Amino acid sequence: MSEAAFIALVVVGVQLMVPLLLASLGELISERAGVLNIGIEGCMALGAFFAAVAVTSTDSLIAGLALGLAVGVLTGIVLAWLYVGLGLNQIITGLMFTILALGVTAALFERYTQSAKGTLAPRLPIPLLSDIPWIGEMFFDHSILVYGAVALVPVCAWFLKGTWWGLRTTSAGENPSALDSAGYSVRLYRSIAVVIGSTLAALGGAVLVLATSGRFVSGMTAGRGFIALGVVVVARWYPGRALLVCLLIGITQALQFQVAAIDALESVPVDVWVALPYLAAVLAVVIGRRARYPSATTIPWIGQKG
Amino acid sequence: MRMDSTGLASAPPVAVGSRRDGWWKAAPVRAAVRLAGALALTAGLMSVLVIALGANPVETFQALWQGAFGSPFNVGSTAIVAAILVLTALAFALPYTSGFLNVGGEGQMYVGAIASAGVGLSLAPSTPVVVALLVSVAGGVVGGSLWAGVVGVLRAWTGANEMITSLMLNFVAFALANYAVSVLWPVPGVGQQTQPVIPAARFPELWTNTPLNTAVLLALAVAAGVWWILRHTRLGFKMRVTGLSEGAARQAGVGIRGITTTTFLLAGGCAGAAGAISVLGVNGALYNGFSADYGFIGIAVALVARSSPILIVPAAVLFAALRVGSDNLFANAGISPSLGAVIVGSLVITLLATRVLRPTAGKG
Repeated sequence: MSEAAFIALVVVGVQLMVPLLLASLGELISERAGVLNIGIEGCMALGAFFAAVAVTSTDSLIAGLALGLAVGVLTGIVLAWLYVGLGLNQIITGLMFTILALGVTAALFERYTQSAKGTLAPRLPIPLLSDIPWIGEMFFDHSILVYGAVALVPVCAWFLKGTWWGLRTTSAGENPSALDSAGYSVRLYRSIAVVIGSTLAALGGAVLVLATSGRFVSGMTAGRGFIALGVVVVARWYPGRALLVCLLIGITQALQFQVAAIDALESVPVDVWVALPYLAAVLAVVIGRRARYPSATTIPWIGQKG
Repeated sequence: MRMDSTGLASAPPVAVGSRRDGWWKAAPVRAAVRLAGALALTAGLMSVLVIALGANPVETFQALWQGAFGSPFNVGSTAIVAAILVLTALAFALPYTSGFLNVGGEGQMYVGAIASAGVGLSLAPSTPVVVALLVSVAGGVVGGSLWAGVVGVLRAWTGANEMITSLMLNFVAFALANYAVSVLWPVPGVGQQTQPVIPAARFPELWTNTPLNTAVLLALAVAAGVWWILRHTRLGFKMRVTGLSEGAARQAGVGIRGITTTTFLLAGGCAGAAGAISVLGVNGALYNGFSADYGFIGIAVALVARSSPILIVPAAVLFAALRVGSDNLFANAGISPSLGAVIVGSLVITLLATRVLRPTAGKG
């Protein structure tokens, strides 16, 4: 493999990593609070669709992100009401919500087709760092959306470990009755975590649109929200590790686009590379098999027993 | 003999809740009210979406009904889709009975379809009808079974979360189907379908000039077979016990690994049979993207039927009518067929929210 091909592979991999990273961080916070949110695949699709609507009608990156964010908050409130308020079965509700959201975006997409806009996110080479050979080109010469997403990783870690709110959120997932005894509302902390998680996933969908064609295509999320479920397990619910895992999966996703430039792999059918990220996620779950979910994950809070 | 004299006989029981509570608080009435509420809520949500899409809700629902049952041809389409949904629902219900979540029915059905198509198109054209059909169906069943078996083995021996692995393998199966139509058995110049299977490998028709064929009988037979296995065999008993309490099952000497693997093999076989029907009973070849979410709708069918192999049959007819009806929406009302997925998703969520359905969580 030539030097240029390798650098191009990593550059594309970093770009593809971003939507997955945002979805994974969202899932991570939600699961830390004890809610397994499979609905994030649907949140991503909704975020992507509405970001594309905003971008095609206003030509503004900010408008795209803002509408994606607003849609994320709204769907997060609906999901929090279903998962936490009503205490419904999280896996089935999440799956059905995803089917619903994918159907809604597909139906709206057929009704309101959009024209491609191209990416609006400006590139920002970081001074000095981007001059480092290899590394600079691979990691420090990207669009502002990439830096923004990566900056959220330490923010999430600090939120969970360094703030009272974050610690209580973790407690809602590990030992909700202790949190309840201490006088805090388990439902409140879980609901907020679900809203944050859904919003991050919707932003991931928005970035998927804004960093590429500026146009929504039906089914473009392609299971990224589901891959995030696997990422979170192998990352053991730590944001920093999630970044690493997402980068690896992003690079495996990049292979399907970059493999033509690599002579040795040219004869392998492209479908192998398309399937590879999903196989990587299966492998991640197998490697992380001893991982222990936060104790109260998928168990709705119905008040103190006895 | 009455025992009044000893004073041991108890007073006649007072009918619970008969005086104070009104008839509207009786359990069946409340269940019916909840069901009606769920249906009204779904219809309301759909109307909002239909209006957003610029169409008339009443006309849309009429078109939905017409599309599902309006002509003998449409009734036949509904029946054949119901057959597919019965099988994908069983693919979810079987592991669910053992306490596992198989959300990979879609992918298992795809692999079944690929295998059926592969067998059906490579048979010699002179193969007798019964043999060709049996061999092709068996190919699909084995394909789906092995695909789900991967999930079962990973769960049994490594403890990997079956919900996530089965979900991921769906996407691998989609890539495999793409490979089959584009490289393995392509039709030159078309690209989105494989070569057709031999005519002898197709299900014989049951009702002339409609899509209805003997595949429906296969689905009913499999549903009956699954019911019999669960209710009347040692294997089925072990599966149910494992679902109720894995610890108790282990204490009683049930080999959990074996049961897990067997459950997934059986489930995948059902989904694979669904794939076989879509190739041998509907399309005659493997089409890329042939499934209108049948694997996922099967989950909804199984939930509504509370995982009962018998109740799955009427539930599948209901969801098949929604699916086929919405496929014809575009022609009749200018609405996207994706509305079918929206109806399924919102119907199940409202059924959950109104407590008509109360599924238990999986092992996680």
